[in-house]
Amino acid sequence: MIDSGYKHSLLARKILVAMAPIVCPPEIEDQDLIHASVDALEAFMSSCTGQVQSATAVGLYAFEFSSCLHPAHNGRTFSQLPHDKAQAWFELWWHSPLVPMREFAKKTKGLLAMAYYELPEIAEQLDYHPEKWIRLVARRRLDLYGDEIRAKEAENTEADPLMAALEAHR
Amino acid sequence: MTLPRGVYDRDDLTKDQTLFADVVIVGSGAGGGTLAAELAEEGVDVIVLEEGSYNTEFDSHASKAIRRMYRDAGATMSLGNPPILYQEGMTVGGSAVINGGMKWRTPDNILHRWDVEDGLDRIGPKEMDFFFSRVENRINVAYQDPESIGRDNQLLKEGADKNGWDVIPNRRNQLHCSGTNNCAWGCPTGAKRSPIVTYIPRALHFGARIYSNVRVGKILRKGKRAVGVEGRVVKANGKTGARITVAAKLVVSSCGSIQTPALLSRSGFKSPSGQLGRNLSMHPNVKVMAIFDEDVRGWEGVHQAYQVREFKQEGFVFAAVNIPPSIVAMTAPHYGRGLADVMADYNKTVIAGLLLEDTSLGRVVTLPGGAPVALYQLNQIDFEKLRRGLEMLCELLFSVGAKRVLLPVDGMDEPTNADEARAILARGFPRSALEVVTVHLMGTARMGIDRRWAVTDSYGMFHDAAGLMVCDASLFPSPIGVNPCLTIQTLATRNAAHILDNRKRYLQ
Repeated sequence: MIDSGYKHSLLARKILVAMAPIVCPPEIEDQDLIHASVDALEAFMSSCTGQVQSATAVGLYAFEFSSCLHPAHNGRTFSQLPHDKAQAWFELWWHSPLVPMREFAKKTKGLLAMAYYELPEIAEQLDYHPEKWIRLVARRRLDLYGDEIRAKEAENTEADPLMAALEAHR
Repeated sequence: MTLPRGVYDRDDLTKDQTLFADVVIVGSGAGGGTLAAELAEEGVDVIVLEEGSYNTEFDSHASKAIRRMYRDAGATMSLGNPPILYQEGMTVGGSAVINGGMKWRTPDNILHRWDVEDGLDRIGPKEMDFFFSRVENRINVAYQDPESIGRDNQLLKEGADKNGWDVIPNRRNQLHCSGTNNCAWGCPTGAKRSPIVTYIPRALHFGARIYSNVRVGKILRKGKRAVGVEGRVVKANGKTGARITVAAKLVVSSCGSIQTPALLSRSGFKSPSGQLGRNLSMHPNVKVMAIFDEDVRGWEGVHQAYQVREFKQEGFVFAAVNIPPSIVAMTAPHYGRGLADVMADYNKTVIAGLLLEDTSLGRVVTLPGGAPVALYQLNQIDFEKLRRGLEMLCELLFSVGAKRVLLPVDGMDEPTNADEARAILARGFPRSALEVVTVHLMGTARMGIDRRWAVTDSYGMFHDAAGLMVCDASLFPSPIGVNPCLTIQTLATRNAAHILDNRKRYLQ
């Protein structure tokens, strides 16, 4: 695994923290999972290329500062907006006819939502327990077919040279 | 983790070094891993270089698996309308470690086309049967045990049956797969017989050496002859480390349809055919989410147990493919409360996908720094097929009780019955609104008998250089309409036989 040690800048973190309650389920605030989601996203981005990291940062800053230009925002950046105005700003990007704005909104939502739904608390809430399932069926597999599986595993390194087999086939 | 004998990683490779082998293979996946094992057993000295790590322990943590085993953390996208998210494996064993495990032979009509139109040598179904059988036996291609099939796949089959559509059980490389539904993150039980539990241990057993965490920058040349490769160790932080040079009699590029043309191009190899990097097909894939009243729990059971083949002649097939909540949430066209509402029904959801045998062709261009970029424009014919496929898929899902279906189209209404789905899809939508993904990348160094329109000969030997072979899905002259892994492994076995049949020519 590549871990470049990527860290969100303070500003990027501030923007993501403001964005999380809009793009993730609103309960994220009451659940106190905003920072956990942003941290998980940070870990994920550590494996992305430098280009992806830079493009994300550029997108976040553009999203943050272009808000100042909106007449109804009184010069405030996205992270300074009250919730309803911040939500409207995100929606404007989400539905934008301009592909880069729309793609930024979609991709950032995608990454934050992925981080949120991977938290153990949320898996529990969804009644999603894959590890338990894996343990159960892995045991069942060995109970039912253990001997056959072991025999086949042993076969994997037995000699079976290609050219002799091909010759026999011909 | 202790590495098996013959495997080296970044911790072992701290100093510049030059290695020698008969054959050096770049990439350890379906093509490279298979070729390595077949050659090593015949006494050929083989070195495999792999950019990813040696991973053998897998769990259900999707984003961790993506970080560990997917190139660029899965965030790779072709440029075009629509942009298509594609994934390449980057782990010892390659994409086959993280694929769904479908193993279908190349359809006879495709082999026939390759034979007649591309003039490939001994590629007919009869000539290929030995190679297919050999791979199928090694990786245990079989139908699923009934207890491993979950409710989502049963619903898909019931829907096809109800409509009188052709539906078949999938052939998968598995040894009593228990249905963990973890294929895309690595099989936690080893039931999926991917290269990491078959060809890789076999190659090591017969003396091959595998150098993981090595990114190959270029193929070394002497005039028009490939004489080795040069790479750099990739450190844990992504920075480059020691220089690894391998001198070999035969160089094989097995790093997939995106990386292979880039490696050849940045090494200065040219094909007068102009086809290097061109002819890219992708099997575009779209998915729908169907919400039912009943508990489906699609993660309890194998994915893609069945394939709906009714529309194969039109170029598309359907399958049910459960995806973990995090990835569903990432790709769902919702946010906020809407997302919460969709996700609350996660355990009542069937996720079904459509795979298209495309007629669109893209290409891979190599940027000045050497990185590849895929360009791919979905043409009108394929776009229309995807639209029609979505219509048919909705019909199937509603016929077995789906309450609503989320379409992979940005901003589109959610139909609650088949008529509505038909009407909504008939209204039309821009291509750019369609969410398309793929894991099947093919065709960028196509085989063919004639160097004027093909990059390699019938056995992957580069037409316009000596000592250079391609051995991955780049070789496909056309898309094949089924999952490509078995075809890649079979061609690799056939290529191995060709090398061994011509030892004097290639290995002396």
